[in-house]
Amino acid sequence: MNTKMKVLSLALVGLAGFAGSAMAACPAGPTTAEGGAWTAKSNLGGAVAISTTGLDGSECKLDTSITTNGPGVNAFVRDDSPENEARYRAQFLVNADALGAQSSIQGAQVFGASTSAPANSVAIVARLAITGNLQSTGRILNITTACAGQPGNICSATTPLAAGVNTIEIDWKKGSAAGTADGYLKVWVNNNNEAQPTVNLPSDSAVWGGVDFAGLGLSTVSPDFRAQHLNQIVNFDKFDSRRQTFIGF
Amino acid sequence: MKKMILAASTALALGAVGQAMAQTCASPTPIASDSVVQGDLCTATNDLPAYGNTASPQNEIVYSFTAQNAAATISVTQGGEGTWGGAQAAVFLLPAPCATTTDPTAFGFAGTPMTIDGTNSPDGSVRYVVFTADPGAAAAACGTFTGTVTGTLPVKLQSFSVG
Repeated sequence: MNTKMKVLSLALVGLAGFAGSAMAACPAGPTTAEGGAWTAKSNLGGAVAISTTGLDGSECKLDTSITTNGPGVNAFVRDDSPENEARYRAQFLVNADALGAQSSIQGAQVFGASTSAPANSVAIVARLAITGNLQSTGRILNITTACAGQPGNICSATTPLAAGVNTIEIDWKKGSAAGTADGYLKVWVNNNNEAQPTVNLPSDSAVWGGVDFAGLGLSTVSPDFRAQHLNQIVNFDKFDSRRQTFIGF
Repeated sequence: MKKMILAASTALALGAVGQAMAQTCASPTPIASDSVVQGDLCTATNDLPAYGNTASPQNEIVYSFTAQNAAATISVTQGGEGTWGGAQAAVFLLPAPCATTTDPTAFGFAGTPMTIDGTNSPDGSVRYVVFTADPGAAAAACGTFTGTVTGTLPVKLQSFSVG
């Protein structure tokens, strides 16, 4: 594991609050300038804030919400520490219960890992979005990854989310050579078994660059999400990222 | 004495109503104070598949300006083509670099103009104005748009005299 990524990992966990760190006061905001650990935040037509208590019983969590019904609105934090990472792992907690019923056309990205060297009109090489199921009775996670030769040059899958807090972990690996599907995006949802990811998407991804930054929070929200879920908070906590080792819980 | 009215020549060069050509991050067209630009996103390209952490599979048309005493709004209206598919037109302000890594710092859409000021566009900074369709809508959403700049973006020379 690279030292920088390890430090990053610790810093970001620190932002959201270690479990048991009840003595720690929450920072005024999520960015380093505000006492947090994230590089930046974006809240175009949205709100980003830190509140108590954390999703894991710790002191603090990240609150994000969309406050304007318009295109391109967002509410997320950004980490610029990755540098052309050919392997990128991350884990975070998310609770979207405050959205209430969510339909299948009310989608919002909650995590993205992006490259500064896009290809085939795709720049976010690993992307997770929440939406409702067809009956609007539960939430699902939409998973997409850069995937040359596939429709839209992405491979995708879905998996159900539980009510309440979900622990989501990803492992993205860039492919070794164009035409070879030995890259992948693996996703674990409330799953601590490294050998059996909840979703495994093999991909031909060698033409893309490595991960250069990541975003956690709401972005690329659908028109129906904006129309139906204004000012409803989605919580995040306990973000961790690294290169090689499974994070687990 | 030779006197040139640069305001007029600038208007001619930039077009009182600027028509969008193949305007991308690599070759943006200057956008002027108190001007109107028009374009058709259906004939453009998806130059920016992301605006930072926001996926943007729709086409874009890109303008740029160098800020000086920036104090303007840019409003956007869209044509009635069915190719929009019900999606809204949008306009975003990108700081340099004009690239997929850059998150917008301001936005606007029909009825809500984008605000340009000294905070998001300090003096001397190069800024990019990106017209597109709603990033949350279908990738194929496109159509014609009109962008109206009200106020000051770059220095606006009124006149210039020689000798």
